[in-house]
Amino acid sequence: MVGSGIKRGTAELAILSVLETGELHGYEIARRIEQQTRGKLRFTLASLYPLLYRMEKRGWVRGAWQLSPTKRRRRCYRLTPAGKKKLSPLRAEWAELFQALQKLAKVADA
Amino acid sequence: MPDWETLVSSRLAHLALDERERQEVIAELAAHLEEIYEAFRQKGHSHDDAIRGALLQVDDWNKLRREIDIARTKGNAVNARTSRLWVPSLVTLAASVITLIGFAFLGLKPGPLGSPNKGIWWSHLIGGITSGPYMVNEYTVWLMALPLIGALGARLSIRAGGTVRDVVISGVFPALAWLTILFVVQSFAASLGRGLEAETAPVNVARLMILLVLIPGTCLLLGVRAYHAAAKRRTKLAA
Repeated sequence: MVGSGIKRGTAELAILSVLETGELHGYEIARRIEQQTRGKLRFTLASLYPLLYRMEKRGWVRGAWQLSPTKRRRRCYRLTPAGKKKLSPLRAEWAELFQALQKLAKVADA
Repeated sequence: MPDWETLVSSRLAHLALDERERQEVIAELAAHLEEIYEAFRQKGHSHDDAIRGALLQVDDWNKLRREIDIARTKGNAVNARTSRLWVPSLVTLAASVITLIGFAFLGLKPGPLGSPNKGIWWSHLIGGITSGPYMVNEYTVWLMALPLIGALGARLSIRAGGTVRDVVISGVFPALAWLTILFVVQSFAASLGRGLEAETAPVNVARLMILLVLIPGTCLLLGVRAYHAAAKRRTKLAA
């Protein structure tokens, strides 16, 4: 069972990573994450927005209303300098964790 | 095309945010549901299936409301707890004390539950409300007002996104406060020892427990339950 801390950590990394490529609205963030992880990570509305709002409060992302090409109002999020700064240590931490887990898995297989 | 803003607005009616922020959240979530609905429609799903598919995004709207409240109220669970539990509880307590004092000033007849002169010294904390031979007296009128006060506490807590536990505690808080006061006074009086045997006699303590905790607590709880049931019914109808 994956603990809530780990789930939240991966979710934050996923959101920051997709926003690295440019600003996106909530639906598009969820869609891109699902696409890029080939459906391994999925966000529902209920799981996405509390996290996005928390990240906004922490100053990692900033949301602003924009008009889409189809003239619809959408709240788009972009990475802030603090969010960009957070992204690389977060990636390093997760890479380290996955490497450690892979080593453990290899030891178990051997 | 369904009116997603109305739907989200009814399901998140009690978001504890200021009006501008609340409208922003509702508009944003409605826009998200609209995108999902359209994606389903583009894949060839029927109108009803597309609505159902969009609504599957949220299992529990109350949980979502609480999480949004916590995330947006400075990300601070303590603030959320204050608005969901402590503020409604203190309002309920203040309202119950004010009405109690207010009814005492109305000059209503004393009650049937015993004379303050024969009672114990801390029964004077509530004046003569438990004294006299009349059924309509300060105490019984106060009891009749308590369901409204309990409902007020429940309303404030529900509006702030409180859990069922928060709502119940907020509503019956005056009775809990009396219970605490009785315990504190009881312990204090017992520690003084001599001369206070009558005041701390189990029969007197039990009497005050019934008059100040059990009966008022039941009245407050009736108000809480009635308001909670009505709020649930409203949410269901809106959905």
